[in-house]
Amino acid sequence: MPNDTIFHKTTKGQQAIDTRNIKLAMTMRRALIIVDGKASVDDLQQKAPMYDNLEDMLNTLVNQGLIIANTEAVNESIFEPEATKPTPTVEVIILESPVAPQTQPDSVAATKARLTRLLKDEFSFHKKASVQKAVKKLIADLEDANDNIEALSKAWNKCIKITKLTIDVKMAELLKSSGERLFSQLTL
Amino acid sequence: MPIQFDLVSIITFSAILVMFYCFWLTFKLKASIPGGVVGKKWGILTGLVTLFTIGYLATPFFQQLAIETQQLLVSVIFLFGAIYVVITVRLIHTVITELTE
Repeated sequence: MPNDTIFHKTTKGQQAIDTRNIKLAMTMRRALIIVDGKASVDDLQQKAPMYDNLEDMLNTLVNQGLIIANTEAVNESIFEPEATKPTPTVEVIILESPVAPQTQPDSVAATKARLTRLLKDEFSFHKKASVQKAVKKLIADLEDANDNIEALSKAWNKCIKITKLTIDVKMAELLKSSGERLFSQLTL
Repeated sequence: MPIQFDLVSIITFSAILVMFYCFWLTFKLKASIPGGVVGKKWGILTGLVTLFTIGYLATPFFQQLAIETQQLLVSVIFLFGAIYVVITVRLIHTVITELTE
């Protein structure tokens, strides 16, 4: 696949995001979300540096009919997003805050919400009860952390360590890199 | 087979009870460690504990075995015992290193 290939979501692909009618692993779902009809494969790789096999994931999405390469899009049904609705990206999904829109959440609190959402999303496809129990405890510990950077950072590091020691080493690395990005975006 | 209630038998019986407790504890804790660094090693430790439990259960019947067989069994248990200690020590070291980073 040439690195300058640009992919569009098909109507089926956009429905998969909106309605979740197609069961996708969270990593595949993220890959589908970051396809925006403008970014090339190289650009997408920069958006999602933690995914080493992004090309394979894009090929899988093409085979499932969820995205289509720009060159083939002329006669195919591609999703045309409304002008007023922004195309979701990985960063937007991660940054979605559960805090009610009428309040002005503190940036540390918003980062905490994003980290919590990240934990929930990344472990959502784990069916083992023991994993879900462990993740529930991690989320509870994270939510109990005070709303300052030091406490949140400490709580997050604890989450990563426990994940590495007792759940999944690779997931711990993924959480670490994702968390670093979120903390770097934290505004004081 | 008459059961002898001498000191050796009492200690052997106590050892078997402790080993059974360890066997039960190993499987109970395994459920709460789904994976990761500890989870992976815990699987190996579970296998070794199972082996030791079988070995400990065989100790009351040792006198019925030939001397060479007894010595072989004891040396095998010692070897795997040493392996168990190495794995446990390295695991503790890994956990301490990870937690103090």
